[in-house]
Amino acid sequence: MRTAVLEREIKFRIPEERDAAAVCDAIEGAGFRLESSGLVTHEDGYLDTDDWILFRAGIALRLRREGERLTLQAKTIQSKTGEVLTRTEWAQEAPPTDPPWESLPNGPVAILLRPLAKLRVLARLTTRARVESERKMFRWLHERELLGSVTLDRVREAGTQNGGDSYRELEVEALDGAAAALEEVRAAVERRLDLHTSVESKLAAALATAGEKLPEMPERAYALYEGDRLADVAAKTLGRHLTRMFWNEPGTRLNLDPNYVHDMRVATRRLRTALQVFAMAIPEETRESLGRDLRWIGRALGGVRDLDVGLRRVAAMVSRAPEHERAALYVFARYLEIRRARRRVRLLRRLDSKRYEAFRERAQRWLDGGPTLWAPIAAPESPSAAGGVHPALAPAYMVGPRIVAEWDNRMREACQEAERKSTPANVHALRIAVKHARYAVEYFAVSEGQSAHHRAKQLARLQDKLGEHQDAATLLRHMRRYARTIPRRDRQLLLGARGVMDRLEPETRITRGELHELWELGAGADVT
Amino acid sequence: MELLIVRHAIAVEHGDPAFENDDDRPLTPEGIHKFRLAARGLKEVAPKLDRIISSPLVRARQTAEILRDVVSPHRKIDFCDHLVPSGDHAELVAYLNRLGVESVALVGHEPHLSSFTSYLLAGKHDTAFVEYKKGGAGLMEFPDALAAGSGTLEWLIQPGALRDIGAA
Repeated sequence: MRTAVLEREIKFRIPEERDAAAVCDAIEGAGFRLESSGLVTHEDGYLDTDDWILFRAGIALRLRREGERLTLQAKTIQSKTGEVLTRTEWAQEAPPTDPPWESLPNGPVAILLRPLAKLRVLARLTTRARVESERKMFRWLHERELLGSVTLDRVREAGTQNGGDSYRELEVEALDGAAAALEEVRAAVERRLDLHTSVESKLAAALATAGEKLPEMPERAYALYEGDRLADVAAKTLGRHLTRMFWNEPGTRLNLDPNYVHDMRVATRRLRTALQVFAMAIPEETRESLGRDLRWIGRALGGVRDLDVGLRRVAAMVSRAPEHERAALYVFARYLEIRRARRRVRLLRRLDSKRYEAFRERAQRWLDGGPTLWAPIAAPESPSAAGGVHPALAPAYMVGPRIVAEWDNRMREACQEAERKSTPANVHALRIAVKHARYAVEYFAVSEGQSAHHRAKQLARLQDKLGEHQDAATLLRHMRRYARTIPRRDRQLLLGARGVMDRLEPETRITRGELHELWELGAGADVT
Repeated sequence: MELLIVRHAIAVEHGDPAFENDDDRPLTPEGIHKFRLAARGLKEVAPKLDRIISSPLVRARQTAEILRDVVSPHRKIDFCDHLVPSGDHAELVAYLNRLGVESVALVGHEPHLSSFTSYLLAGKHDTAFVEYKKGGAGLMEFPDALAAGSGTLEWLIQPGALRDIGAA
């Protein structure tokens, strides 16, 4: 039994006034044949927790009832491609009772969901939407070759036979090796009927039949206003990034898309910087304990993310590498994948640990109940040493520019040091200083206006440029370590690895002139 | 018809927490290095391949990719579910006969490959009298279509010897 199946399909939503047979005619008009293969009805229950953990992890879980047969199916929500949808699907036997469940029978879906066990997903599952479909099925052929299947569904909210919203959808699914024919079908239907492909997931469509929609990240509570005090900006900034961090945790655990790890890591980095930028508005004990935990989890996230970046770079190098280097890049990529898998285990262990649980509970209490973390400062009666208003309670537009200027100065100093001596350590320190300066500008962008957004973009560009050098240096370190394991007998691989290292080496270096140029472009032009 | 049977190269150990799903276990860099050298040996002794068919499991797929790159570059790899460890011998024979080609490489797993080899040589399902080490290979010949008990074992070479042949 294969555990995961890659599904390639196109879908058309058929308007009520259109005859579905016309779409089938259009497909046959393009030189294909459709052979009827039956009619089935089934009911799909879309399952998730009250806080949408599965959706946030990037999958839709559905319980399909077809006659007496119950199947549990998980499918990625995001397609890896555009008009031709490419999704991965896992299926297995479902428990005989309705959810929630204590456990699942052993199978592909059970294995898939294992990294979410700590979040008690199975025990919290409820049916978020239930639809029933009448499905006409066709075999899709070209002459005598089977290319895949075509299905025509009439879908409505379960239990609303004569009422409620319903829709019709035609799906063309290609077998392995027949994906190119999907494009011919798409073009034919578009040309003949002016009907365009639909990219809406079945989960979203099922929710829509019940008048509901998929959730968004709950960030509104942390919107900033011009009149906010420094303490407000600090509280909202921490709130927003904690929300982003936890929102991306299920996806990070499930590991179906590297962007979740990236987004969770960025959130922890912004939180750590915020603790420093808003130091005067956050009690020291809170800063230190939160900072320690964020550093600890951030390191584990960074370990995985760095290898994702490395793997992406290796993939880009393969496409333009000469033949003899490709083999070395192939083995090197496998080496990085195994290292990444091991680092992911370390990350999951941390996410499953008591320490992380305590951190999450503490942060969640604060997110749910308000900024008690800095009550001693936020209290209006808390005066500054000079007897005036504590800076944390002053409007952000008054205090912000001074804070931004301070981080700007630190960045300037780091740049001077890197220009004086562009060692990897100094360039790394500059990259960190640019990151801090950029985040500081962004935190106060609402009160600082349009110029702050422009400046943040400039700094982001500078940070990215410096990051590229840093990423190349990290990758070269891994490559050197890997190259030492190549057997001497494999001269071709040794030569290839040498070639890759020679190619990477210049990308790790940054000259004084280049640094100066970058600085002028990104940061020096209009420092506040 | 000629059938080249190749066992996947050294993979990450079964039960490694980084690869909870056994199907996802990849080759280790050491496994890749060793099989690259063994594949050069195979290039010397194996017939020209019309098709390369692999089990869809990661470790077999990666082995097939190396075999293809060394022995038969630009050839497409096909995947066959009958080559997974629990695959059915008779179904695999029927699948191979439908291909209608002269020479095929199969990349798969033990003990499935040794019992499949024995099945083709002696017609018995339950006895395995050959054994493939990781990265090892065997070549069988058939006078006509594949059938249980109709094959002749031309050679069976373990990976160390293949690497030596490749280095010669």
